[in-house]
Amino acid sequence: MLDNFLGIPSSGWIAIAIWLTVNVVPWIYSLFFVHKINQSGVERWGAKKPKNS
Amino acid sequence: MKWELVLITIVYFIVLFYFIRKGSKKSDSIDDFTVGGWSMGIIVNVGFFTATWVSAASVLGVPSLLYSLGFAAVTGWFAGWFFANALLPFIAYKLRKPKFPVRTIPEFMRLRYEPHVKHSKLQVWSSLIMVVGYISYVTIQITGIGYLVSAMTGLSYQVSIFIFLLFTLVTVLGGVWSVALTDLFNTAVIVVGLAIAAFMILPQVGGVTEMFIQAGQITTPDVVGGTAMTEGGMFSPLGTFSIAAMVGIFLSNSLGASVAPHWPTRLLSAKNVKTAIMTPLLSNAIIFIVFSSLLVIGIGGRVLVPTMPEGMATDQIFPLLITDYMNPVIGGIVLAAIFAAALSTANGMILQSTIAITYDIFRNMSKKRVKDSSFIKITQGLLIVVAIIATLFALNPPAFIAMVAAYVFGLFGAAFIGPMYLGLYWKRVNKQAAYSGSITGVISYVVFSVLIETGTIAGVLPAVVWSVLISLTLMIICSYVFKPAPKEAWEPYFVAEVSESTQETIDKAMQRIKEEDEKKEAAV
Repeated sequence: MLDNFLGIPSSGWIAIAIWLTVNVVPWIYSLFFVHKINQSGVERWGAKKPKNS
Repeated sequence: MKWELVLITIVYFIVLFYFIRKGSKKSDSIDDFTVGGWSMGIIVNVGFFTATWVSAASVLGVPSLLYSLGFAAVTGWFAGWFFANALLPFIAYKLRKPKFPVRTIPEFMRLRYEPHVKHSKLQVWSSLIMVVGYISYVTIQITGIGYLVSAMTGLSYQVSIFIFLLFTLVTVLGGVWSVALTDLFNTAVIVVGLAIAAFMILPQVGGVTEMFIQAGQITTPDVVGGTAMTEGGMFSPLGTFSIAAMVGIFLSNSLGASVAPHWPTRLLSAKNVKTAIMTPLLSNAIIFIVFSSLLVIGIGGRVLVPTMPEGMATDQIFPLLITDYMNPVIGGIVLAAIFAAALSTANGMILQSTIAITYDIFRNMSKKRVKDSSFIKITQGLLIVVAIIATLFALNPPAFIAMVAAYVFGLFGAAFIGPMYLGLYWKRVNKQAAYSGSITGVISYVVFSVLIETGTIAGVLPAVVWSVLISLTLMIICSYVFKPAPKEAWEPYFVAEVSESTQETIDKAMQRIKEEDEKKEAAV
């Protein structure tokens, strides 16, 4: 097993993993919000196209 | 004064002025002046958001935290601050939905909780909290940049902050568009300047891997007479903190910042809900690059200077690296990046606090209707006054300013978390809940801060967590004890098309006057 990667030991990667997690996780629910907006068909909210077109 | 710095300052000002002119052309109406007409595209809005986010306090403070604490700063501070941004899409998704969204956050408090009143005291209360918080925070920004510019240029501290005042005024007088477009430019300056700084440090520490290997071997204290670091201690995710204390640090860095009114205001500027949601996410990606540069600067700084020279604190590590480890031209560009960070935060906050005074207090409480053109002129006049007051405070910062600045984001959290999140996601929550939740939140935040600071109670849970818990509990109780909110209060955030009565209420409260009425009024 690697003692370290890029000179950073595994304990340091825990801190970086927490930081990366708070960067990545919001994309999941935000893309869900964007999906809901697209489904709404409301153009002023930024929906891609109206529901019935 | 060095010629390199003069040249860089001139180039910086010329480009900045180009953006100021572009922005000032778009500030004729009250909607444009206060909130950019709810029309900003993703690029401008991300630049607007990012530059405000990265302040002089973070550019100078983050390397200092990394220098002293190592990777514990990544766990508690980096992750905490980024988590604040991670919460913003929840606000963006709802806040930007109405056809005519609010112009300010105090106005959100009014329309969501007391849409039928003629003059809203809740709007005034929210504005007062913003004004106190922002002026204190801006003063600290001015103080920090004043000392830095003075140390690096040889100018006196007074002259340095006067130069900063001039830059602040020329960017802020054109309203939100002027601030947003200059912020877009400042974002580029910050990212490029800090990336250059990191690239200047890396070869001097043998590259990325070698830098971290050497950091792991550091055992010296950060300051003369300080506590020695244990070998490998720079990489501990907790540092010298317990898990509970680290969770507390994480929460106090994230909760309050997520509702600091200037963030939701930037979401309001977006041209639609989708842009509002994407703004904090894309900004996070840019800020990630900025913070990666700061990581190299902080850790690389510790490798190059294992202990700060006698008499120097760790927050002087970045200026020390600029003067001793970078050539003057590069140093000048990096100084411009720090200046841009300070400027973009200070001008945004000065504008927010002034609009809070003129729009949310004066216009709200005024018995006569204030015309848009008069409103803009009054705001521009007051912007000068507020900027001068903050600069005068910075000449000799009173003790209370430093104290408020240290607690400002907790204060915002205590006052706004309950009313913002519950107001956007729960139809029933009512006026009584908003008043009691916000006021009790602030009072309990002050009380718990004092109790923790004096050691009366253990500070495992930070004051902001206590105050938010108390505020939310009280809000839920009040929402069930008193009548649910009227539909005019919640409809804009829950349905695409509001009823006629709701639209009339909004128009009245926001003093949205139809064009023909305006003409009639002018004729009279």
